[in-house]
Amino acid sequence: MIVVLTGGTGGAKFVDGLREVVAPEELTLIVNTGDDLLWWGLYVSPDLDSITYVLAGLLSKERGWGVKGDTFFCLQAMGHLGQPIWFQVGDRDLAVHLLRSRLLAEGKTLSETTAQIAARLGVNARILPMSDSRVETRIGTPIGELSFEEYFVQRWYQDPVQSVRFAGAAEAEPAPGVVDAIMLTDSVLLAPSNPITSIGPILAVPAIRQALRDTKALVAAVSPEY
Amino acid sequence: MESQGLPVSIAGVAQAYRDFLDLLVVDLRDESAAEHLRTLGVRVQCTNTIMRTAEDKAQLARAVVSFISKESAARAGGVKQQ
Repeated sequence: MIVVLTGGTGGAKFVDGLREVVAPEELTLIVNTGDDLLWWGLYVSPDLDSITYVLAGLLSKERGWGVKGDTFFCLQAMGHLGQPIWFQVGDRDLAVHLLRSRLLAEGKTLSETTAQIAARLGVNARILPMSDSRVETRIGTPIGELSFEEYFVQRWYQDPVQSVRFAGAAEAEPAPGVVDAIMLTDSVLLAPSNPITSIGPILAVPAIRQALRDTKALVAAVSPEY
Repeated sequence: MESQGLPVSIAGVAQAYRDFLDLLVVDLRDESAAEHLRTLGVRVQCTNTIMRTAEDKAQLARAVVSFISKESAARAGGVKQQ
């Protein structure tokens, strides 16, 4: 079993390669949820979605996010209705956000909704959110504190970053299965994701960082491109 | 990385993960920086980490899986690492 900590587009690309080399049943992915946002009232988890789409063979490789061949009729209609459209949600992608939001509203956890969506899309690898509780990456800039998606997508990462914090992380528990996965595997890989904004939120959950220190597994990281 | 007081380089990555990292995989272009990290006691392996094509991605995955199986075998065999 290989356990992979991942987030962002670098992580998704790495997992895309890994699925060619390692059987999906041998992969557990622990995924950043610090970028999660409420969009049009729906719960969107950009990194969980990207990893799920990669493993289902559905990720748009041209864009690096969303579903390949997706259409954007709903986005256009929301624009006509005067709604914000800076976070581009495709129609098939939207179905996933609708289902996740519905399951969460019914009282399911983020882990449970993630597993259900992955199973429906034919994913055989195990995808775990880092935590079932809300941890939010907050980017401090000269114009104030922004969520990760506001900083990265809405404002095209143009603002100088003065600080990064992970709101809620100190009190967050790892999602069920996360600590066991790290403790019981032979090897843990940190994907070539940004160490601060994509892996940082995962490591900010105290029991996850502690598990990485305590495990007998080999812990290897792939450096992102510089 | 700068906002956290870390250099934007493989040294910064090694520092961000210093309390649990056993092995760092870096790009071939970082070979000289890798050599410096090795002198500080960090285990480093180099390969092409640039993922432009499907073959690049698979090659990186194969290289990383090969590095970790070699390291794991060396550990199991009791070979001294540093």
